Amino acid sequence: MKTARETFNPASYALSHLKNNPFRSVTMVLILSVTIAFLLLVGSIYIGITMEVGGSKESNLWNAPGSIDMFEEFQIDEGLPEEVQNTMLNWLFFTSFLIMMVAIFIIYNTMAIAVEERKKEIGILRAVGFSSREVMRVFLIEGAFIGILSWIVALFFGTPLIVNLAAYLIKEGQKGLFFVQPRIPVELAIVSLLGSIALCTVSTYLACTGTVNKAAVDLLRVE
Amino acid sequence: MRGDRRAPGLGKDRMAKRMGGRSLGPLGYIIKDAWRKRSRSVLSLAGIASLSFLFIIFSSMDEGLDRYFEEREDDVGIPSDEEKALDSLRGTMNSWNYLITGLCLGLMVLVVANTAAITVIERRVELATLKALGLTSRQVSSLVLGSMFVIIYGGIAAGTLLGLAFVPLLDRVEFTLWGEGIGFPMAIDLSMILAALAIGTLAGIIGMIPPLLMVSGPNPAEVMKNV
Amino acid sequence: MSEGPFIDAVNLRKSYKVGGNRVKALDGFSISLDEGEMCALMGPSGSGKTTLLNIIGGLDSADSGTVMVGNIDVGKLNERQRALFRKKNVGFIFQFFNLIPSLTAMENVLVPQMFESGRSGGRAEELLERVGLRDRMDHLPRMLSGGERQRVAIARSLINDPKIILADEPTGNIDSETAKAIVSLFKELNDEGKTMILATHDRLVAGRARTMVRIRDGRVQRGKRPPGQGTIHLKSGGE
Repeated sequence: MKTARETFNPASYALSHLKNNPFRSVTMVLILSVTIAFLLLVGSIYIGITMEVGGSKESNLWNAPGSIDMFEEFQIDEGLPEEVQNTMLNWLFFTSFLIMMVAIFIIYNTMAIAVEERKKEIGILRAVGFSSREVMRVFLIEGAFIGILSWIVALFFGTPLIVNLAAYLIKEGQKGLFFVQPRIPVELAIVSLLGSIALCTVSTYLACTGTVNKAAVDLLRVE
Repeated sequence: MRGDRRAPGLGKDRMAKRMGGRSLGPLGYIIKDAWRKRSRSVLSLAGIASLSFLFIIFSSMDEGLDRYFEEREDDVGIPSDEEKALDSLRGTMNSWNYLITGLCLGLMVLVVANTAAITVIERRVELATLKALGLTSRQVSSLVLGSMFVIIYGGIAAGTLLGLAFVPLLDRVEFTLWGEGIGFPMAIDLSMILAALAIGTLAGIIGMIPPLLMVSGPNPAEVMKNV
Repeated sequence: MSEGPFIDAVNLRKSYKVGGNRVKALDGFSISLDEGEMCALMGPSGSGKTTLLNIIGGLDSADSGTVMVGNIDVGKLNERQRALFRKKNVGFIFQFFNLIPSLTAMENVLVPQMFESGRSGGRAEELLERVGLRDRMDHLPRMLSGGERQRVAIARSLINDPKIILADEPTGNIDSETAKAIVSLFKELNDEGKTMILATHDRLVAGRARTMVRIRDGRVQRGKRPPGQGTIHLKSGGE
């Protein structure tokens, strides 16, 4: 006979939670994917600069699908002077940092509300015998899943979108928005995946840790 | 009924406690509610403030470049290295500005939608009670809208002020983490502030649509049944 | 004094969809009350008590049947009119109190007048005094006991001086001592001329009402009268 513990699958439980709250899940994924796309962009520019200063036309291991080769398209022969590139990059990093902060705020906020809404549910789980760690695992899986999903959306939709948007702006007569061809090497992709998962998981952990560790009695009380 | 009132002063408005002088307006409700949920409100506010800060900084960079070259319009002669460097950046800067602005707007909409949805969901029973007590859907919606706009405008005010404060500090400051860099000229223009407000308002309007639909939708009776 | 019944609900039917099933909450229910009557509505859980109160108060609308309150056909009002109708004429009291957690007792009493200009703090204070909570006026709900919260809710329901009070399990979450005080309060209000419908399990509450109606499965429970002939009022023993 299967005990509750044996049939309890934290992954499916977490997924069903996400499915049941489409609005919240979607906004979280959107915010995160925009953030990640932006970070990917900045990262790729950084790599482009430090590895091949001035912009090389070699194709690399990964070109985000749908993106275009800036230099070919617009015949940009020379990039910007070095100091300018450095400074721009500086600003971009700063911007990315801020945007990352915003994303963390939102994930934290959203997960904290979700947790509070489910206080009764968590209380029941705890009362039935699940340890706080097991309950936490459910939430962490939720967070990780959001992180992975956002990364996928960012990589396949976000970055090309931004690059093409930039191309559109360039056509308006401005000179190179991108002083190097943005590329996303595999290393960057992997790093961003891990980063995304880490970001979400940590935010979720912080949001949940208070409630999940409370005793079942406290959680089930009707105020 | 006049006389000494020595009620325990737990409320913030001790001063308002006069005989029959008290009333509760929608603004009072909004503020009290925001205060109670202050950690959440602060997070959302911080998110919006960061975005408007970003917007101000980048706009000022753009503006600064424009002014820099305006000043030098009449100059004839060999452009300095600095000038050359900045010139190359001009077109780029404009485009970046558009991009950042779009980004800020988009993210702000998402932040607003997120926070508003959270507010409405959390307070489902409370809002249904208000309807039961005779407040119309429109009045209840205005309460939700009001509390959101307090956060939005508060965030924008904070971010904008902070940004404006930083601009003179960062003006022409050279800094990079690696190698050499150049300092950007940065300047402030009134249009930036107005733009920030406009973005916030727009974000508020767009972001509030789904939650407002949620508020006016269900019957208060149905909601309370599920308690 | 109005001619005929003050609250007249005829042949109400209402069903909900819960999950995938259609649940019949009211199945041809009728009730008729004069002004100033105090009626206890007794029935098991799920019998439709709450639904009936909601429909009479205009919070919900029946699928068929009519509800007349005074000379107003509640069923024909649109949502906005119903809200105003509620505000002016009906005081609701809930089982779980439903106070606003971020507001003090005094402010909770003032909630129905949130959008009206003019200061009625004095009236709110009077009402709190009447329910015996003047010294707790600035306390938040979480600092009040169940009985105290319900009393605040009662004060709140009275702020607009409604003619009708609808109470859904008012003593459901309260200890018996406090419940007695609350029932006395209800009796007082009734003596002042308010029409009251109290949905309850509590015999204590039912005992004090002049009229009692039993409801089961959305219908008036058949008594000695032959079926299909209007409403049934079962007089309870003892006042």
